[in-house]
Amino acid sequence: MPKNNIPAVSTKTKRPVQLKGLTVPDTAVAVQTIKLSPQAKKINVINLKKQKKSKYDRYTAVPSQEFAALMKVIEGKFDEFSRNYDEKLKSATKTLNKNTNAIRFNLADAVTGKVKEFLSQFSTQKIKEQLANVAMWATSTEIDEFGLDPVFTAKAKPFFDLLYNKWWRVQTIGINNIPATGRGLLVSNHSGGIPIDGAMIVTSILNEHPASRITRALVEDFAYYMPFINSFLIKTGAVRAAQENAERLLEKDQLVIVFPEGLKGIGKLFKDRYKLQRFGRGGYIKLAMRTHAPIIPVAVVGAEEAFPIIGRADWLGKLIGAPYLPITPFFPWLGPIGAIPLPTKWYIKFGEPIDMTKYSEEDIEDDILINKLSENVRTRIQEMLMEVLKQRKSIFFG
Amino acid sequence: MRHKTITKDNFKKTKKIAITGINSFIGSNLVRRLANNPDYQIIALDSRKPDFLEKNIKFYKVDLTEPMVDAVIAGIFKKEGTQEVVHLAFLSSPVKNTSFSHELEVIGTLNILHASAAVKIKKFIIRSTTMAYGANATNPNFLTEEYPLMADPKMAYLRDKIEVEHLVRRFKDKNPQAVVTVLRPCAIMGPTVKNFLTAYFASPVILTILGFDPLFQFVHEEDVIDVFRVAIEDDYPGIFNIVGRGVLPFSTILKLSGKIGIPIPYPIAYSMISMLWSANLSPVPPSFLNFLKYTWLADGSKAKKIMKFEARYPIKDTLESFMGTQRLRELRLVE
Repeated sequence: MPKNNIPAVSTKTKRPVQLKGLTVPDTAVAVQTIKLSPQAKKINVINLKKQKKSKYDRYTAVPSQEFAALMKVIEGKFDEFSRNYDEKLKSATKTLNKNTNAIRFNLADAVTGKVKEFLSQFSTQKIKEQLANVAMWATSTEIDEFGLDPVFTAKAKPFFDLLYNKWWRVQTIGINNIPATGRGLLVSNHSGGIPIDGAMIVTSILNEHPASRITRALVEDFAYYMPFINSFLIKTGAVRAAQENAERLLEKDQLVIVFPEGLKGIGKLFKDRYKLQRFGRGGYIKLAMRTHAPIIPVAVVGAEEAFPIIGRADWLGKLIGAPYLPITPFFPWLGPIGAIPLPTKWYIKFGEPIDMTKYSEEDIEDDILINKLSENVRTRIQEMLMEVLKQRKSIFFG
Repeated sequence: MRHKTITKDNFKKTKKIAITGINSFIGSNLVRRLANNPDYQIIALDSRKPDFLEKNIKFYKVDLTEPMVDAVIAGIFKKEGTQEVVHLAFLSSPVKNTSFSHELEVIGTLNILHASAAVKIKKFIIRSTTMAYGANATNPNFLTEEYPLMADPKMAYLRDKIEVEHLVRRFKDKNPQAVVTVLRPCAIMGPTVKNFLTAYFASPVILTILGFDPLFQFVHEEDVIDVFRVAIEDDYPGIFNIVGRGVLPFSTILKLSGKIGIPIPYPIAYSMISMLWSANLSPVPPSFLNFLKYTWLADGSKAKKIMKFEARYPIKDTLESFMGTQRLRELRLVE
């Protein structure tokens, strides 16, 4: 506190006003504690000068306008608060009374209500609702335009996870070759009688890739003639292998897997394992050119030994709508048990993406170029297969 | 100073539209939308007098199956100065009398086309269906307008529809002055529409094919009528698939509508439905069962791009509106 120009304030005669942590003492001190506007400061300076003049007239100092306004605001707040408090108290007591009355007089109603609620469990409407819940098990009411059912897939996923982690102990190599966003056309070798390698690639990208992307597998036509299998495939996100479908998916920046070996790949005999068959007619190259999707070569090792086909029975396959019935050392001799694939150790290797943006519209018509590119991809996958096979020591233990 | 004279040409000319099949579902609703609209003068053709007639609707009783009816219609068109034809005189459900349906749909369309060509019509709008693509396992998931119509020829209802489309294509080639619009709505659903599919979905127990669960799409009746109105208002030459929003598997549709599906292997179901169909107990012929086996979704992106048509109702809402009215019908609260 300045000593010379400001007179001492007697705290005895006038106690400072205590308001919400803000100490508002007498006028002279207030000038220093409260931030004031320049105008108010001027007034205060005048006041102080006055005070300086009359030495004994300390308490006659007029309170500053700023301070008066502040006090008014504070008083107003007080009033408002007390009014609100009164009202709140009143309404609280009112509701309390009401509630107690309600409890007192509506006890009987509450009891009958409980009884009604209990009985309503047995009403036809409730039973119908419960039946509907059962019916809608693993069925979502909104699906993807290609039929991917998220609820059904979530229910089916643990089974595939089990196969992935425990049965085949799949190990992925180069998963980061798959882009985190944007389209991509995965091209893979195909094998295994029961084409489950596609499901394992989908699971691997879902589980191992940082972006956990959903991949749509293109499935051979014949699967769509087979009962149960067709609806299962639709629900889990597989799509019939048609140019239109693949184009639509890639245009929506999705990942698509194709197996250009097709049926020839699935029905590969054990003696031909890891020998890539002819790669269709290069439809997938045209597709990648048209949609500018990068081609990502994929090599699946282990699947070709999981279901060692030693022969094919065409006439048996016709009975179930399949192109043939695979014959293995265990199937069909051991019945359904023989159809269980062997627990081999699997490797899925993702190669580096091949850029397809440099090709023009005219290149799509160039069949020789397409054949050449297709052959390049085929040799790339064959190389990848050989690389993994070289490092592998055992079929079952990797 | 020259004054602008008001001549007849300054007025907005009223369009003279002939609508055939005024008693059909689309026809009757379309005419209600266009009634009392001073822009249109409607020449209504049907074999039966409609219950709804307004000032700007002129009704002519015409039976399309009669011989030499093309000359009669051409006379009507000439007399009225018809500029546009909306051809809606089709059956909404398969019938057992296939010779009659052939006469009405194929020969009837031929007659209308003859008359239209005679008066050099400006615009021709015709209703077809996406069922004409057929349900095949090899269909792509979304059938575009360029895809060939490959419905099972065993189903006379669709065989006629395909033949009609061929006739219209030939008409379009011969009459380059005409704007030919072919609208192919998918299965129409809604509170008031009645066709063989709504009849199929109306029964409490529904036959399904064991092991097959195709994706379905529906279009709401309001959306279909809107599309026809828009096609009349502006010129959109070409073929357009008219589909609703979203798809659902057949099994989910049954579950959502509280129906009990009875899965039966296809060969048994086929013979069962054949018997029921010949006994007048089934609304669908046996050849329809393919549509419960394989997906037959149509791609509506062309209509979205060119006609700016986007269905207002998602498939669930369409289904709910139909099922809700169906429940009221069961309680005999509505007709």
